[in-house]
Amino acid sequence: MLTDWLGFARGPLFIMCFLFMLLGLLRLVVLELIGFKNAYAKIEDKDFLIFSPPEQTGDIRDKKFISKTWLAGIMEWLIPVRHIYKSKPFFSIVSIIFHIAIIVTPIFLMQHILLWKRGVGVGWPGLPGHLADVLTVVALASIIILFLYRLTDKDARVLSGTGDYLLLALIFVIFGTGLLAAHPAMSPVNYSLTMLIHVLAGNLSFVLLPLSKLAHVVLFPFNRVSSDFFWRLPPGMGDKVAHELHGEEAKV
Amino acid sequence: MSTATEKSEGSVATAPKKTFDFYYIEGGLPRGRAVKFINAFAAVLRHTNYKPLLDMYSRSTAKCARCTVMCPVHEATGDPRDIPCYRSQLILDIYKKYFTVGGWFKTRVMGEGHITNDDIDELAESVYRCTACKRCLLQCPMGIDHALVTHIARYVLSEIGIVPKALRVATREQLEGPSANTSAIPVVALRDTLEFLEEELLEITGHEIKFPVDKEGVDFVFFPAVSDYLLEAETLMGNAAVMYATGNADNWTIGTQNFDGINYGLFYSDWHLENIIKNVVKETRRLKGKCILIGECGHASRSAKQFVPVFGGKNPPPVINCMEFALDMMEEGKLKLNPDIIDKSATYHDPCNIARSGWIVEQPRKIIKSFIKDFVEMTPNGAENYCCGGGGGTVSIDEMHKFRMEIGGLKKAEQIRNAGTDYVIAPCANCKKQLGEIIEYHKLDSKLIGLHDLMLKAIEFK
Repeated sequence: MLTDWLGFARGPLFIMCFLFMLLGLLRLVVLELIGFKNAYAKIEDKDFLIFSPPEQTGDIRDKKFISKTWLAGIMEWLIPVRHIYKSKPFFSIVSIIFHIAIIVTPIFLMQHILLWKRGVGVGWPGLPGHLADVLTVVALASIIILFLYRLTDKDARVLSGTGDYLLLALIFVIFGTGLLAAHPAMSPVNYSLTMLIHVLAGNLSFVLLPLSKLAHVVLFPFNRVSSDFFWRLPPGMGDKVAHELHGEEAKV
Repeated sequence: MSTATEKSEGSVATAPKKTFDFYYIEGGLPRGRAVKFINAFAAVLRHTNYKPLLDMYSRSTAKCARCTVMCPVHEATGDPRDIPCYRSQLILDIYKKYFTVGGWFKTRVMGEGHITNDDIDELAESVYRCTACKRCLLQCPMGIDHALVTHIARYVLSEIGIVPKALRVATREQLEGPSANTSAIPVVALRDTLEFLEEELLEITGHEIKFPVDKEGVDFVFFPAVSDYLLEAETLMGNAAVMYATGNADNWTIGTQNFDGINYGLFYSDWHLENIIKNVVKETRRLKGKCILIGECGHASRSAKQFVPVFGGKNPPPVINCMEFALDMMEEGKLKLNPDIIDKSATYHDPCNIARSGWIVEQPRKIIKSFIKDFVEMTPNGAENYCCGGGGGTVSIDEMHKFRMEIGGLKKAEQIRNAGTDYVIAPCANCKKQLGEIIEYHKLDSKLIGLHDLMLKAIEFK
């Protein structure tokens, strides 16, 4: 009975959730690209269109310069070593470790790779089991610390909503059950049940990726350039807004 | 934890929400403002590029609280409502609720009601507590520009009539009034002032330095912050002296139809921002000038630099700041400053609008170091500087004086005290007014001065 459910969860349900994630993230990227394209189309003098602050030194119309500064900005924050000590250093370090652990572990776990190999016939080198265990424990520890940080830090607590805690809890469940499933001998719970929870929680996280703040996995690079880009407004739009709201005779 | 913080934290959740008690809205708050606000928001989203931006921001705020240590206002108050991310959340929540499917769904499921007048009041109070210094952007791992989100909120609020009176009256005079400038200076008074300044310059320097008015076909059309004509005459004399000493005495002009670089639209309305920029470009074209030269003013420089290419039509004139110009002239050897005249120590305040993006950071320092031996840096400085506390238009709102002195400008006051120099150089009309008041309020020993005021004393004429 339990194994039937497990078969369903990691068979058809997994495929559905994974496809939902891929399509959902693709949709977000396409919507943003359309947004950028519309913003571009509305600007009159396209010579001045740039992807970086206009004030920065260098020729702003030089496409190479543009992509270089843009990429530099993204890379700087993809590996934000320079910024750790400027603000909340302990939290920042834990947060970086957390990200590395939860990205590397599931992708390079031997058992996952075997599943991919069996399912679609593609495999890649994986982590040794011990290292994967260590990374999983690190992920669990960092989740606990981040959870406590949200609860105890005066500012973070005010900003945090239910969703922020629930997402952390979800990731904790995924990694916790994953660890237990990898070591059935240690597990106090039935293997199949552990596995079922692991797979269902994982599937849920795929569904939530495009719907929640986890969408930052694809939106992150756009954010870096957005504020310089979208403030380049189409000429005449201020009149349109004012006329729509206050009629043709709109006054300051 | 102190009782004060506990109190302020408690007020977030339970909260009799405060309405405007520190600045004044012309004609009072509009009735039914929640509905009006949503309609205005919809119109703004329909005609601007902001929708994909807000979509992206509302999906990716991590709520990590790393911006808290960057915000001078939050550092001074410790109030969670002053966290940049919290402020952005106010408007992003409204956006999600009314303009996204997910938000609509969540509202139904959770049984949340519509936004109320109180929500609009909280938003309106919150957005005018931000000095738009953009310092939080430096530490946001998601790259969310909270100053721009605040700007959008202010724009929507302005469309339903919620604008501090001081900003609105000044902009109305500039766009619709007879004088076409924010300080309502008539052309006659301008000419009188310039004549008087020319006499002063003759006395100080012994040279016949002129302010050319309405001269066509020159390279530089000059737009200072118009308040300089009333408050910072020495800066203007410095500007004129630099033009004279570098051989550009006949190569620049002040236009009588529009001589104001101030653009409050940058702070609260894209509509006015566009129209003011268009007027500046129009005046430059009328005088057949080649280039827009902005005086010592941070936000005038930034708004022109950033938006003349956007709203200026085909082949918009280039924009340069007077400090860029002075440094160019120094490097070409046309401008020399005597290093033996000023023996006092000085520090330099970076105006956020020109320094945050790294545009004008090194130029003034090179100029200062060439003639002032005892130069002390504040920390942090340059692109990471602290705001003077009067940014985002708040310096013009007299009702906010206490806020600017005790909250917004607290960090800057500490910095100036720690630097302990004779002079504080601030090349921005906005910062000058604020820092002058800060020095008086906190009883600091430094003297506030503009960069061109100092240069005027040290210029070597051929």
